[in-house]
Amino acid sequence: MKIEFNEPTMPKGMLFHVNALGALENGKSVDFSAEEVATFEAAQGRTIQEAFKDSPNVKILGSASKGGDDS
Amino acid sequence: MPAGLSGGGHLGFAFETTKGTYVAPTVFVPILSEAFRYVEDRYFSPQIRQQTEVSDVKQGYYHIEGDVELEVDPNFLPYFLFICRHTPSFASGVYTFIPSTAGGTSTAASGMVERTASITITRNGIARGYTGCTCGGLRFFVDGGVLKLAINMMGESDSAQSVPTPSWVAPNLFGADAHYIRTDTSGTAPGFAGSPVVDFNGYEFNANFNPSAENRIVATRSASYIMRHETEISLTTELDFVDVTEYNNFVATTQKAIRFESLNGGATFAAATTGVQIDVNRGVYETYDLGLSGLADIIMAGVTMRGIGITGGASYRIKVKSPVTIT
Repeated sequence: MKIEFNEPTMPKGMLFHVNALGALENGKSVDFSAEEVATFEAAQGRTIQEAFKDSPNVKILGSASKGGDDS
Repeated sequence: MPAGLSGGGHLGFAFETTKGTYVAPTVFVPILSEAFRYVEDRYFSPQIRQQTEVSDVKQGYYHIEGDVELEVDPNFLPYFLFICRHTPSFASGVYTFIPSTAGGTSTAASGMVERTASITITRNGIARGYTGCTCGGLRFFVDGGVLKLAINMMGESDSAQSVPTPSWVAPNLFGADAHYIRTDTSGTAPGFAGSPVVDFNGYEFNANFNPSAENRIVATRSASYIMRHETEISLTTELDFVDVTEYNNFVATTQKAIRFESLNGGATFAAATTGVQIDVNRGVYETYDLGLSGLADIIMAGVTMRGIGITGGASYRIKVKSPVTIT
């Protein structure tokens, strides 16, 4: 699952950490594996879509994959 | 839900585009404590009807108020200074904030102007959104060598919100080796060219905007706006008593300028990667308390300086060198 993080007031490239998920780089998208997403959802008690539904700086771009990152 | 722990909570911040209209958080600010309170002027009916107890209750006007304490971090400090009664400006990576004379809170949505904020606080998995938030007063102080900030927050309304998912950046604090204090003669733009002074035992800068929640006759109970009244500026410390110079300055109401600076990544504000600079441009001693307090005590003067207005300039100026871009 690709997650894009973009907080325009913060520097591009700044690392943001989301508990139980991992690091997101400002201005980039990161690919999270199905296992990582499941770990996050278990910790949150809700789906990843629900967790970020009101976050203006987070976009969920696809379904969970095996991992890797992307810019 | 079982009992929760404060450490599991969080505070989210967002500038509002319309004063008093909730915006979900865009940044999450690490704090040390918060105490946002719903404050209501509840009406109890004192009807005279053969009883000696009040006879009814109606919900009254309410607003939000409370303190937030945090370690000063240049990644977040500008956000809070934008919601104070300040005129902000920005040049070359440095935000400058000087006091303004604005009475009610601003409705501006963007630009180098004062803003209001929506603040979302999650406690034990339950989120409340506080809107129309403004800083009613701020207090910078050094505690354990670290620069901290306490903000007296005032807001218009509160509501239940869905719990946001925070994202956190690494802390960037100003520790014991980051601070400098310099003094100069009073003026609109003192140079502070001298060496740092070495006799300040502690530092506390206070700007109190004396806020009040204002309610007007509209069909809602929340505050119509937050008003700010007199701005009271003070600086508190203890000074080693080594000669009578400052005592004489106290008696004579001699005015002076005081600069407090916290820097990371360089020994000057220009060279530092991040920094905070607080100038009181026209300070005068209000108290200078001296005594022999105990057999083993250092002889120090407990002092309070009052910041007063200056013709053609700002009574105080806060500069922040920060990586954030607020437009």
